[in-house]
Amino acid sequence: MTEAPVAEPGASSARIRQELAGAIGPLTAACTALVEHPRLRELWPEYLVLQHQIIRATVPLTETALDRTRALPGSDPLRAPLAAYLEEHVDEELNHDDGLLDDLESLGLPRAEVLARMPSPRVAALVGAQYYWIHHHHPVAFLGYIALMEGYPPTAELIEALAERTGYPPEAFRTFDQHAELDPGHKDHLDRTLDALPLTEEQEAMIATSASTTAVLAAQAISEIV
Amino acid sequence: MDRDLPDYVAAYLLERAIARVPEEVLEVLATLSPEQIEGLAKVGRAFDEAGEERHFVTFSIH
Repeated sequence: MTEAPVAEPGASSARIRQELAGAIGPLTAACTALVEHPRLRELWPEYLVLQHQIIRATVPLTETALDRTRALPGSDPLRAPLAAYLEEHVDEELNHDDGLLDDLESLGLPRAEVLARMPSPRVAALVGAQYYWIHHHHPVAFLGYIALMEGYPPTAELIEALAERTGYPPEAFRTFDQHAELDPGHKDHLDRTLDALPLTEEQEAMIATSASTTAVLAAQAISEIV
Repeated sequence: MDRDLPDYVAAYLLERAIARVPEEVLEVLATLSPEQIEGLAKVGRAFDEAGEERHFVTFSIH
């Protein structure tokens, strides 16, 4: 049996982020259009609802990826290290969706109303693509989703500008503040994991495809509300 | 991005959140040394410190 080509050790994160940088354009355009929108105050709660619809799937998605990783054959060299990372990632992401519901309540949107809204087909595609790859290809693809989602944390300057432009109180930006503080560390954790995993070239490409697809679909989801 | 950019150029593009780069500009960036790229990054950071608003933003929470 011919063994799959192994990716150059220790450099996977840089190569994946380079690929992602080339695919991030639509998301940059969508984020910029949102932040500079003349009706940003009106759109911001809609954006938070959208983010909640996406973030509420994070822990279940990670748990699904973890289950599928544990079910990999014992001969798969990714099984143990990927499962170890995903176990830690579940802890990193717990209750973030609840935090967004708190932020939305501070803007006058009751939890029940937020939860009653049907997520758009774009949101279903964004999250659903990961379920497909996790279940029907290889759970390592999910690392691309995390690479995009945690790769561009909001900055303190951005949050300040958003508060000023919307006129909303600091309570409306607690989740953004939290991610500005936590996500750079989570990104470093993922990059260390990517560099340590014994990825094949095919698996590295799989992660890059997952990341790029996430960027495109996230951009489309935001564009629907702008 | 089809071309192979040096890692330090890719890192610069990431740091500055520069996503849409015309091919002609990428060709020039790919010819710059790490020291020249660091010079460009320093200018960008100086603009940030001076309070100049960046035109493009990219953000995501998870």
